[in-house]
Amino acid sequence: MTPDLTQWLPWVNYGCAVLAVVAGLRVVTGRQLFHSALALGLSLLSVAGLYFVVAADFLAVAQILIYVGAILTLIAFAIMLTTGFGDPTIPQANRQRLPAALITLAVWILLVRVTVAIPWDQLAAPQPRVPVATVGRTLVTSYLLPFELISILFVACLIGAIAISAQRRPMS
Amino acid sequence: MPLAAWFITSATLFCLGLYGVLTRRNAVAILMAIELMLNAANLNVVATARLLDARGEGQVVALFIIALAACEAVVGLAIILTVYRQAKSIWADDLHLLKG
Amino acid sequence: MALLLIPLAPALAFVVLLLVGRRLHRASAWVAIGAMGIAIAGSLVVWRALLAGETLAWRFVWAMGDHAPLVLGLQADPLTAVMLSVVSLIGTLILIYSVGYMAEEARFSRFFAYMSLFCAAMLGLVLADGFVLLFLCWELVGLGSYLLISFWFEKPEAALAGKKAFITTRIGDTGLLLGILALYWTTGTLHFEALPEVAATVSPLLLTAITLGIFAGAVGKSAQLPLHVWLPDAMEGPTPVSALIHAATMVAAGVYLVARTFPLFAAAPQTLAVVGIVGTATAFFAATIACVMTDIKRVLAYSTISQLGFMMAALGVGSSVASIFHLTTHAWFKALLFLGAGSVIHALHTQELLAMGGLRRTMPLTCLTMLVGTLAISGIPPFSGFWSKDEILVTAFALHHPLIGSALVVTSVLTAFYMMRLFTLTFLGTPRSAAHPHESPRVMTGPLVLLAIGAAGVGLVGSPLMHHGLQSWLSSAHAPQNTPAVSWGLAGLTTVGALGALLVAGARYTTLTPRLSPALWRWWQPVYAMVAHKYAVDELYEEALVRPLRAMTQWLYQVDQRVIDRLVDHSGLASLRLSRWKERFDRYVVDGLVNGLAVAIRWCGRTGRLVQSGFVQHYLLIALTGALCMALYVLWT
Repeated sequence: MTPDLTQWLPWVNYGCAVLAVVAGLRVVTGRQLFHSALALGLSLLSVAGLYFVVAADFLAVAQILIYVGAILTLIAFAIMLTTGFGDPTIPQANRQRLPAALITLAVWILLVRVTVAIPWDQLAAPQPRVPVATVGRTLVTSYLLPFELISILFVACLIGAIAISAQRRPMS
Repeated sequence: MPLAAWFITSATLFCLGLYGVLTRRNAVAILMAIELMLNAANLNVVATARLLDARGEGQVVALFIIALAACEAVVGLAIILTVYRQAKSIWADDLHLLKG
Repeated sequence: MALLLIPLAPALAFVVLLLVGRRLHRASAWVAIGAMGIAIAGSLVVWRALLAGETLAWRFVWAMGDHAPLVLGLQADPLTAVMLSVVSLIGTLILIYSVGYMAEEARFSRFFAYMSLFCAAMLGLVLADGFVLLFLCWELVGLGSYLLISFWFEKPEAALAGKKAFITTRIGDTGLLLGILALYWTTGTLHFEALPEVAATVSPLLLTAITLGIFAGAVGKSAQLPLHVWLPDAMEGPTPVSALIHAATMVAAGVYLVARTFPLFAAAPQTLAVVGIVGTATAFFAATIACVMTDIKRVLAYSTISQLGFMMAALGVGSSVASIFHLTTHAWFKALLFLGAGSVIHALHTQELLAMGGLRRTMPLTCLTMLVGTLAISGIPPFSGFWSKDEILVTAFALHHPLIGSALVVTSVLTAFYMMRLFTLTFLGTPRSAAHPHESPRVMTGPLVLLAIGAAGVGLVGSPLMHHGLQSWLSSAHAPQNTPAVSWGLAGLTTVGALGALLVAGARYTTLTPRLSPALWRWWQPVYAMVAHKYAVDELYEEALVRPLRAMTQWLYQVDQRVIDRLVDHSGLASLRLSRWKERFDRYVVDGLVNGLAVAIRWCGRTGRLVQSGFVQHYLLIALTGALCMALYVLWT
């Protein structure tokens, strides 16, 4: 008999949201770069948790695999290749902290006000859960062209990255 | 969680990422902040999909966004590495060849 | 039209000679003489017309006045005709004489230019038909006199003499101007033909005032007491100038003026009395001085003053006709005497009588003509002076002025005395100068001879032999006067007196040895000194008038320096201060604006440049700010 987890759902919901935000805060204000990277990972994981809450499980797993597994690893490699762990006394934020904070705050306020002004509950009701098979079918029928294009994009990116970062050997 | 809260969360994450892009001196840190912003956008799409989505289109779009984020991260890091080799620095403050 | 030509010809000669005289050299004399020849011809035309009974006039409107237009014009009546012939004939002869006298002069053509100017003005004066033109020519004549007296202006005495002449006559001219203005203000007319009517209508008091004013002008111009002081000094000018201006013509202008305005004078008996007294006093006074002068030209100058006194006295007793008759004869013999003196001066280069003597052998022609002149002025019949002077004496007694008559008789005797003295000292006796004189050239002796003929014969026209033709012709025109019957007793008395004076003077001055005993000399000496000093009139004027005036000018000069110049200086300083303030304003405010504009623009650029920092994050922030503003704008409108 599975325990009734649905009563924990709101807690998980809010908890993941809060965790994502707090981790995101650590990402942008951390002194140690590696700590910021780890915070990023935590934030990404929290978002994956949020995906689980809305039953977009395929997406959540993809998020974990790609974002946390690949991109974060890549970032970690880049950090180590460039500065390593770095000196904690070097200031990590530049001189436009205050103006940037103010502007960003203004943007946030704007977005929040716009959001709150709209009566979301009257617009539509939550849809039932979409199974993974439906997602897959939609991917290869309606979104076939973007799917193929993404492949080409991947190839282009790989080639581009190699081309950019290749070390030039002198012709001898 | 009410839908508005989802949007507020996503807006918060987005603004945090924005702050990071504008403020961080380390190029890699800027890249991380960009990833944060993309994530926020993704969350927005998924939240909206709960309202309208019958065939899972929201998830598909989000998938595409993740893929794009990956590509962009790869190329960006390649550029950062190259710049680091040339200028021996990853501080954005030192990259001011565009200065008028 | 002939009327206009008479003064116009010499005026044109004046202008021509001023402009091109220097190039004409000796020919300039003939330009002037030719112009005067035209004047002679014109006067002949006038004579013929008048004798035929025509009236001559020429008018033009000069300006529009308040009540009536101002009309100037020329006219010719018997009085004018007589004056015209005197001026033109004697003027021409003197000009011919000047060709020889001024032969070595550097400013030859300038001399003839000035003489032409003078002649034009004099002719215009006698032709004028109203006070306006008369006054204009009056002043021009004074100008010509000034220019000619100080012709040799390098000599300080000549310059001073010119100034003295001008200023002294100016005093008289002020009186004349006041008289003219009074006349215009009360009657509104300035024409001579209106004068008889004026005399009848205006109040006697006013008439006396007007005539006194006019007489003042005559006193100045004709060198009567007390304005006589300029004429002796005017002898500094060349001798032809003295002959023309200061013997024959200009000084006669005063007499002419009174004669022309005689209707007014006849109606103002008080003024006539003044005229008579002034004239007689002047005649006696000047004659006494002439007896002791040692400069040949000064003797003749005082003689002129004396003779003019005679003419004024004649006017004063009421006979303008006798006065004009004497004016005519005097013009001829005085011009002759002056030119003869000039001939002597030209030969000996001195004017001192005490340095002359015995010239009758070396300059016979001059001697003979001078003798004629001397006899004429002394009043010896049948020369012209006898007839005219006697006319005056007879008129004086006939019109019940015995005192004036007696004084004039005594003066005539004195006249004969000093003239014979001059003749004796110059031509008789033994030569006292070391120079070797010779007779003057023909161009000079020719006019002398012609003048002698005139001096001898002119008087006959007014003599009883021709039934007083001149006088009746003159009086028929405007001032009817009766010529009194000839008084042979008086004539004989004066002739005997004159002859006696001639003999006494001749005997006395043939040699210069003093004849008075020491006792008599001690009594006589102060009198002699006083007369020789010309009664100290010049010194009196100097002390009483000239020195106070000079002091006042000094004081005024100080006022000008201290007060007025200080005002000017202060205004200059004020404007300087203003300009400094303005400079500061310009530098700081105006330039500040302009520079400030440039600075502002540069600041804008420099500040704007800061945006281009090269940091992408800065660009991002700015872009974000812009986007936010746009979003807010869209949302709130």
